[in-house]
Amino acid sequence: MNKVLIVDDSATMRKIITRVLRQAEIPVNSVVEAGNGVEGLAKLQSDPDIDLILSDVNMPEMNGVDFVKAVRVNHAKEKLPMIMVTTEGGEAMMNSALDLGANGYVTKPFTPESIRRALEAYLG
Amino acid sequence: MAEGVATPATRSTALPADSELLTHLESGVATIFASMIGDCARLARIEGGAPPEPAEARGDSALQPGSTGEAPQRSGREAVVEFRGALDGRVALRAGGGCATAIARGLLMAPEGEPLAPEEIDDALKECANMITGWLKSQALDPIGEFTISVPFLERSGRAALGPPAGSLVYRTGGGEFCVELWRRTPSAQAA
Repeated sequence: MNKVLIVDDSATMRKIITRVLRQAEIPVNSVVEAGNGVEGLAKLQSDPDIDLILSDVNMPEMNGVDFVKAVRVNHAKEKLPMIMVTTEGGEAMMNSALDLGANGYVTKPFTPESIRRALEAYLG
Repeated sequence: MAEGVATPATRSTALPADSELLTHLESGVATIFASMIGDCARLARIEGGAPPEPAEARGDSALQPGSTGEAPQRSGREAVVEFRGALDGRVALRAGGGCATAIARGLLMAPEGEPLAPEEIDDALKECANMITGWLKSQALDPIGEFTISVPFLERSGRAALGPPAGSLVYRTGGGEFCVELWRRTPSAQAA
């Protein structure tokens, strides 16, 4: 995997996910970070090498569900996988994200193993 | 459940009792600490109130193992997440400085020698409160209706106006003790 975009309003959670990716021995060349969906879209526009997105759901400015919707305008589900990382295990929210084009989700709390399982299909 | 996927129960219309909410919080804390932070031991479960306050002079180091069930000092950090829906309320995670640092170290997988900025500690405490409330939402609130939870924030001064919590859980972990407290407002209380 070349480059992963992590979108989360918590800088700490972005750091945690980056460390968990390393601990799970997921081969990632570099990580790009964004604090919300709006910033995430800007990073996607300026960095065409991003090949997977891990996104929080409950964020200010633009939440994760709206972010999925916006990403899918220009990026097909097969070309740019999006995995939602969220505390909210509610079926309705998960289903809207999946309906709008998210490829999967991981629920917090997570472990390196659960992150690895969620990303396994996209590791190449 | 050690990790990952929370399974919401079947939807029902009855509002859960305080003790039920507290039980869900307890299982959330256990799961979150086991998965992402490290060991913690529950010292006390108080229904219908707050833990007794520690003596003024006490700091984290004076909160000895097995001692207590007392709340960490008010001078510590307090991260809050509010929930809104068929019932409104909030969950607060309160910890003294040493305990908050230990929680942040666990979450960030930061070794002892790695310095942590105060903002990182605050952010980690907020993230922990967010996960605990998210767990409560998926396990106890989503089954009874539509709920939203707020972005986590640090409580600075508004606590006194809330009155006593509906319940509290006190834990010990590396660095000291922390407390998880639940406030709720019933629909009738909101109307009044």
